Amino acid sequence: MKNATRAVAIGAAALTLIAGALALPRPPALSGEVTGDTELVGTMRELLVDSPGLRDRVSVAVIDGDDVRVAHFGASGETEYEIGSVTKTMTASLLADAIERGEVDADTQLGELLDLGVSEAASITLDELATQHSGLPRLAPSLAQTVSALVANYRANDPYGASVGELVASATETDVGEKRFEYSNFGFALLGQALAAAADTSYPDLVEQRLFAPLGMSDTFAPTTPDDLDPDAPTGYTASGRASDAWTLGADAPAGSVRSTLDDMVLYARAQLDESAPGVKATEPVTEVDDLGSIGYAWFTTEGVTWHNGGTGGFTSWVGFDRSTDRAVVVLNNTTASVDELGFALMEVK
Amino acid sequence: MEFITGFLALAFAAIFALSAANRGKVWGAKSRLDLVLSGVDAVVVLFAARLLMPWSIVSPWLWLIPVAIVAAGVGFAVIRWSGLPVTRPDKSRRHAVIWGAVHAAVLAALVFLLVG
Repeated sequence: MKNATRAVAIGAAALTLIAGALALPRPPALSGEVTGDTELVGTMRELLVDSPGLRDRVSVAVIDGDDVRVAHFGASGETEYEIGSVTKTMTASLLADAIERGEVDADTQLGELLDLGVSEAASITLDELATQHSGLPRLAPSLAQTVSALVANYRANDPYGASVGELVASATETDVGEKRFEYSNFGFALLGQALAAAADTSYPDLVEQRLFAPLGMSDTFAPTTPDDLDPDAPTGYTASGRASDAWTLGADAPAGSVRSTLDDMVLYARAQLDESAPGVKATEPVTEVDDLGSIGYAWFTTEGVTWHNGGTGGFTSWVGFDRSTDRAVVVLNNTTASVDELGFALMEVK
Repeated sequence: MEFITGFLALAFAAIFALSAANRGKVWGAKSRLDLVLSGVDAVVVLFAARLLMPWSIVSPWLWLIPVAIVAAGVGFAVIRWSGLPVTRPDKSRRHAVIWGAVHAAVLAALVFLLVG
């Protein structure tokens, strides 16, 4: 009997070990399917060695005037990526464009466009929102948003999803802080919704009509719900290698919901570089920012490079350009590992 | 934060294995219910570590350490099983049911938080 029990015990332990071994974590690795400019691919391989973190698909473009070199790992020019907060540069373009059209002024107050009553947020100007000097916190300070952000960390899902009404209601209840630089997704969400209200349309339609269509970015769009995505829309990976849900952000879309491709982002970056983009004044530095150099409307300028990065639950991105060297760089990545260093490094590569 | 789940997985696996292998008053499981709950704790925390640990930075092979400890615990649990009462003799059956239900609810909430 004792021997039989021992045999069962050993068998049970062995089965547990086998089950555990079968469940061994298998995080994705940088794709071996590589296409594009041979030299740039080689450069990327060298840079990625020094850039820690999980990788799977990566697409990059280095634009020197009319010359465009690309490199893809596991992707093509038409592969869809979430670009995260690079979306803010698009919202910023819409602001500069709306000022040119005479729809709004830099000093237009948020309360003139959104129903904010007599709240503190009503007196925030569009210029303050676009330069991240609004006094608003990073996220809407609601209990639901806080809990949602906390839970999203563990479930790898989209922590956003408020309606425009809920976003505006949060703003009316927010204490506005000191008007110094504080990066705010909340502020950019309100800015995008205010611009949409000024144009009497929705944010996704506004950015399509005034930015994506004029630039020929036919595979770029701003979803606000998962229903706006194709059933097989690509999703990315968290730092642990877990598949992340798509981020569509709801009313916070102007802060980071845009999905795009490398081909489209090349059009966008080139238009910023040669100043043909709608609302290109957004790229001009407006005020100094400690450590980062200066900020225009969303765009940072650091040591001559004008740039913005992005990150969602499963993607990171970087777009930058330097008009003095006539170079622009786009980096798109489907994991949460940062690509900022890659972006800056590619700005320097010969 | 992500690394904490790895340490917790090791700790809970060790607690389970100790409670299964040890017959002492401090660490040893006093009932089958204790043993089961301790085992399920270890598996759930292991599951959390699998989902949350940054496996691109930490070698995935390290996963096998807590798995091996849990496997050893399962083996010891089988050996001790027949010699243990269903619930602790020093507590009432009602206490065991309430404790078991609360424990299971917390674990279910944790699993729901992770994948629900």
